[in-house]
Amino acid sequence: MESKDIDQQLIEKIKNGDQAAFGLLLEKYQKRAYYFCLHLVSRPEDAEDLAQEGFVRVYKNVHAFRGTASFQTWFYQILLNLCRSYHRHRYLVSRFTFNFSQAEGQNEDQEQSLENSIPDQSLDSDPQRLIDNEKLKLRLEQALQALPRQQKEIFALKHFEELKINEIAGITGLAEGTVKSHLFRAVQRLQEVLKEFKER
Amino acid sequence: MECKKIQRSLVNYYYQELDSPAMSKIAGHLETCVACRQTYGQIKKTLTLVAKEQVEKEKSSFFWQDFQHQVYQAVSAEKESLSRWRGFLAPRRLVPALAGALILLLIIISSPRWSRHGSEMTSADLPIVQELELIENYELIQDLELLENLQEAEQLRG
Ligand SMILES: [Zn+2]
Repeated sequence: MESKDIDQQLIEKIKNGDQAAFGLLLEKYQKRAYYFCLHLVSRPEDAEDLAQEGFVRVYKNVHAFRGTASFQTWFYQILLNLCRSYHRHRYLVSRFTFNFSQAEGQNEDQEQSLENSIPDQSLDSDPQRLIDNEKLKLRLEQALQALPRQQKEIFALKHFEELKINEIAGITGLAEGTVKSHLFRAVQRLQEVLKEFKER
Repeated sequence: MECKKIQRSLVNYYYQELDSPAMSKIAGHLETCVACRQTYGQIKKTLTLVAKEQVEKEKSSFFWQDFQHQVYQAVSAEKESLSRWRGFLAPRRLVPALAGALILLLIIISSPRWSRHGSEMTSADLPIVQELELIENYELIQDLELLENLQEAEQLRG
């Protein structure tokens, strides 16, 4: 049986009050939910909360799920909405509390701690190159977090969740061409980071 | 011109999001064109560096146990509060309650004591006002949820 059909069966069981079915769905999607949120919000404890809330919403609204789209599509929509609300809330809070120099310091700290933490895997290769590589990864991660919302969401759905363009279009409600151009621009931005890093 | 078009498709080529004629056309072009091969090499390198594993190390089974535990707790709290609301606002209980309260209100209003000192009456004294407030609050919650859903739907479209 296809994964989609299994989900549909589980949903029907949950609608009839089957707790075990909910447990199976939770087990099946917990990692994807958590890591997806983590890519979008980057703070592990917040990603955990958001992913958990996603499951609570599934449970709460299961009767509203008609099955016209797949459970996967519906679930990603729920998670996207939660992450968007989270960012809206964080944006409002940050307008009153954001301290720029503090944030700058955090990035430096992160890089500093990288300098100290990497060498243990570098026994058989060039330590400086490994550090550079880790620094580059960090830069890319920062660039990813700094992408415009839609680019970041689409990149996460494509690159990390490995969904097809048409599935992403279904989740986001965008045309396939629009999804592709957001993806293109996201990759372009990441490439620029790589280039800037090399030219330092 | 050809190269420009090819280069715009390289991201889709990387993710294998093109039909097979387009995939083989690009593969063929990459074999012969140095510039496009270089561009593709950069895309590949970038996307390999943005690897899945970099985000966080694999979580322990304790983490997932705790994760599930938290979900179950939230779900059962949700169930409890829902059943409380539904139980209280069930029509078979609400209609007699409202009717009773209405009669009580009429009695109170028509009683000479209250018509003389009407201004002393506060909402806390009146069961019907409290119940109406409760209903209003409940509708407000539903409205807010509806509003949120509408906003989310709009954002999904936009
Ligand atoms: Zn070319």
